[in-house]
Amino acid sequence: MAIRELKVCLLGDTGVGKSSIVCRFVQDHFDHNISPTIGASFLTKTVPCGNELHKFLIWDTAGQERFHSLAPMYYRGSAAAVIVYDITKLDSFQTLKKWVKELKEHGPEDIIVAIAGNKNDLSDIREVPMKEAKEFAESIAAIFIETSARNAVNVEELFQKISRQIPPLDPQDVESNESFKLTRQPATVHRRCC
Amino acid sequence: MSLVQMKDKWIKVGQDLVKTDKAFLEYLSDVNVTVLQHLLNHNAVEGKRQMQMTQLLQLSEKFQALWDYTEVKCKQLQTLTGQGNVQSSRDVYIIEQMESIQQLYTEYFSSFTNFVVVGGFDYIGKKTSTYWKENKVNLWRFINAQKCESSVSLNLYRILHERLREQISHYTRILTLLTEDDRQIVGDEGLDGSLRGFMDLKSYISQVLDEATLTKDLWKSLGQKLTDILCTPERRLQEDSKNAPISLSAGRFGHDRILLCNDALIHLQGSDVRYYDLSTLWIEPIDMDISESKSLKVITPEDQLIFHTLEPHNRVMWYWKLNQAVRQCLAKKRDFPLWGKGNKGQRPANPPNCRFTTYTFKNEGRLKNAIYEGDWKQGKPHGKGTLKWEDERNYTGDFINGLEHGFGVYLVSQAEGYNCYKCHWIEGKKQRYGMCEYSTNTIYRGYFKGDLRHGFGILESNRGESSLIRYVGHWENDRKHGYGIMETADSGDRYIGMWKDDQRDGRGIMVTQSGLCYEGNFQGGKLIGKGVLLSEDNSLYEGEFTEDLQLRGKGKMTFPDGITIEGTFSSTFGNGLQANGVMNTSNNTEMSYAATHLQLGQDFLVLGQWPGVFTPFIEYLRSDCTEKMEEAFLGFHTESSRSLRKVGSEGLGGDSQSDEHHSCSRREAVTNAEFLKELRLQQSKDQLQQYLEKSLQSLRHPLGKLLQTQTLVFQAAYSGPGANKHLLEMAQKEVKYHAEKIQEIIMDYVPQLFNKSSEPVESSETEMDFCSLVLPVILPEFYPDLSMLYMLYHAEDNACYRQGILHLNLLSDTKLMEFLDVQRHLWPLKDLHLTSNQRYSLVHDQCFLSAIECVQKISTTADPQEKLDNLFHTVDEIERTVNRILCREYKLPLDDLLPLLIYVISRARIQHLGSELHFIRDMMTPQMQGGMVDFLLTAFESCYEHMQKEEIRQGRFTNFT
Repeated sequence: MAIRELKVCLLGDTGVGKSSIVCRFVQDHFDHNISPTIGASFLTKTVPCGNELHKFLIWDTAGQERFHSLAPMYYRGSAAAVIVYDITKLDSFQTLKKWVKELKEHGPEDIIVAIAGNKNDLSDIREVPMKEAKEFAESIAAIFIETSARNAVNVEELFQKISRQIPPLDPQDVESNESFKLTRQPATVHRRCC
Repeated sequence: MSLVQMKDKWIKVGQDLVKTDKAFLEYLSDVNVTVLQHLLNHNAVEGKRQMQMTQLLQLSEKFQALWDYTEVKCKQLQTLTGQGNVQSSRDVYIIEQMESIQQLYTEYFSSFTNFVVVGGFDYIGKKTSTYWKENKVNLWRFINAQKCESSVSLNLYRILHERLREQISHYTRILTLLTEDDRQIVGDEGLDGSLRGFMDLKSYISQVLDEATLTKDLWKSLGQKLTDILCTPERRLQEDSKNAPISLSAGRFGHDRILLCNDALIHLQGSDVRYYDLSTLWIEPIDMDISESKSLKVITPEDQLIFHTLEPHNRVMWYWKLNQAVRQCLAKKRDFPLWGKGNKGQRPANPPNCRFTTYTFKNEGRLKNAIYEGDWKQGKPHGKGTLKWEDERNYTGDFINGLEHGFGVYLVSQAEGYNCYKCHWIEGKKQRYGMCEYSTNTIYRGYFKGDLRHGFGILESNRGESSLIRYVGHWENDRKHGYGIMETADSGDRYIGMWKDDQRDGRGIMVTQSGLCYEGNFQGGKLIGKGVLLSEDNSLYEGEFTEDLQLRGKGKMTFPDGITIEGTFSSTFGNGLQANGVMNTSNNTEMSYAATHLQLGQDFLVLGQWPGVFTPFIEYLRSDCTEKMEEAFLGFHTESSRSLRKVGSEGLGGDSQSDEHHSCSRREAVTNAEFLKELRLQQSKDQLQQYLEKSLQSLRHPLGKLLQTQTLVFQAAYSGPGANKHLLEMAQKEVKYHAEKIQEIIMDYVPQLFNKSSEPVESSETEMDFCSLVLPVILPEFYPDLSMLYMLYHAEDNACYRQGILHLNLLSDTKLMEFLDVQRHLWPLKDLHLTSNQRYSLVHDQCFLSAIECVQKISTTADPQEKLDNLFHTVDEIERTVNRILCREYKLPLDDLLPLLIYVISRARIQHLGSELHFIRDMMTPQMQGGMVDFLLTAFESCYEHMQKEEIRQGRFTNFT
């Protein structure tokens, strides 16, 4: 089975639980080959998808405002970006919008954008209505899901959704290359409507 | 026989001997006074006849020597006999000292026969005849009256040798009596030996006398003119075609005459005299099966002579005589006795085919009047020798089959001084590696082909010359051709690119000392047509050029402030620019960044750039790698001080270190003997790596030599004052090219180590091989120059980074962590032990020490992998410190890691962090993209980037106090 390496970068404010989601995703399944990591900043996980294996190379970014300008160095060459906000903090949703705008302007072409509303377990103090977030996601043709890293809700699903959006390989590429790394998508599906 | 009898017997021998010696001495003294001295008195100087008188003087000398010796020995023996002390053969000097006697007599008779040959007796006889007529008695008293001859010369001849031969007969008689007398003495080796010696001496004397008479008669018969040419005292006739017919023209015997002498073969035809020195004659062996053949082949350095004989037996005889004469001539010693059976009854050997001798060529051709001194084989210079031409050219070295072949030094006289070649030769032509010191004070070191410079070579001025030029590159038919680098010291210009017919031609880059550099197509030495020009202040011109760097035609100019002019240009760069076009003043920083970091040589064919460096090495490998051929293929490698320089990990900072220690350690080299065999034995990658490290770092190992050449060509382009940031990418590609080439070469010998990893998991390893295997080993050689280029490339951002560091380091540990938004619970304050009057806010350089030390180590190695490992350890150390503070395991997300990294980096104060990171990234393989290494490097790069930010650079930490 062919292995495809997919670079995914995590964006979002400090404290929204970017790394919690990823740690949950990576830890939940017992992995025989424990891949080397850099703290919680760089993690990998391989999941099957169709007749392929997707190896997610997950890049964390620093959420602090002052490091914002460094983000392009991190999301450059990503196949997908997961932008995380905290449903209990409206500010974090505003930051999210800024990220979406930046990615559209400076991010890789055809990057898959996934929006994750974290801390779904604290919905009683919710500040960002799910509907609003969902509509926003739809308007930019992004994946949307609300998660709870603490209760392990929808974490798996988030990445499955990303996986499903990865276009399959061209047959000749499969033949010529047993192993394959993929950092940038070949232009295929035209997802951006606006 | 009793002892007494024995003793008596020896005493008797002694008495006998003393008696004959006394009579002999009396005779000698008498002859001396009455004859010899008288003859010598006639030694009036007469120019024409001086030869005879010289010989007479020598004869007299030998006469005295013989006389003195006999006198001394006779006296000694007389004393011994008187004391009754003659007890064995050891006391009898003619037994014990037979060889000395033999020597004295041989010498005497040599002189004597020399005198005969030059007609000395005839001459002196005539000269003194009047005297002898008056004093007949003086002659006659020495000769038995009945046998007395009428001719004075004949009488003198007899007086001066007959009695000496008689004396030898006396010695023989005494010795023979001894052996016959008593059986006990028979078998005494000394006695037998000396008896044999005297017999031989007797026959030797009669032989040389015969020979001399024959020779003297020959000279008489030839007439005055020929005699004057041919006669020398030492020359003796050995064989004459009159005796045993032989001729150079078949069927016309008697037409020419052939004389074999002891030093030469002489061919007479009419008035034509040809003279062949025996030392350079080779007689073609006779195939005994075709015994009816009548011809004989003689090889001389310039001719092959076919001699014809009437009868086969004549041929065999001539063959034998020729060989014997040649052998004796080469040995510079006549056989004793002449024409004998040889030593100990063995058949005398034929002369050696290989010999050492001198010859002057006469025939027209390249060797006319050249003198060769050295080894020969079968008529050709072969082995070691020296060839001197008439026009002062000379060659000293190896020959094969008459041609320069092997290694040799060749001097060609010039108007002033010499061109001195130290080259390898093949069949008379300079071939493969060599060097030439020209009379113009330039030196070429490199390859030759068919006498011409061809392949890779370096031409440079001698040290101390005012106008230094240096060309490192390829040659074809004695001209610069192909890829090459030329540096001119006075102007400081460096051209990197293609050459044709000694001219810059094709793709090329010119780097000047002022910092101006341009790239484009060269034609006839000049940049013509489209090109790119960069000035030191990072102005960029892209467009048309005409000769002499005139910007003329369509082009685009980008100024450092981002302003561009696009249009038609005229006038020279730097001399006021005229342009018709559109000026864009929209301050485009991206444009100016691009100009600053523009990389030249992007479309150069980096692969295959240096075929001349690798081809000889590959040929060497194919030639079975004999040590003898190593130099011919790989060169002498008179290593420059530069290549020995210790490679300091701090780039230029380390360059000043003394190289003594380094060169010593590197000289403990692995010998190259059978290095391929050794290479093939490498079983695993680790072994191979160790092997490569050892051999590449050795100055004497072929691989080490290859690497030296690689370093040399690399430095030619990228080292020194001509180092230019616009060449960074080209340099970096070239290093990889060198690594790949070495790998290609090795791969052929240990293919099993390269094909193993066919499983998908390891597949990336195959591609990585040259990076992981060869590159780290060779990188230290290139590192100083390469890292210099990185530093130049990063000069501007590094300056900003340094400013940032400077300001951040004004802050105390706690202040800095606060500024960087490090979460308070991660501050490692628990680790600190403060004295009572200290406060945390004053602590400086105390936190995260282990991580700081780790990151500092990246500057201590040239190996990108090691540098990378240090970065990984740095992160590990940060995490370990944090875990200790929190007393639990905590995996740092980037929100926490990045500020801590910036903290650690700012405290580590690494000089050239940007270059280091860029270097690591370039030297790692592209597969790393997106992976952990990529992430780690990105993390450090983002820190580097962050520290260049204006707010940090300016020290504007206003929002907190």
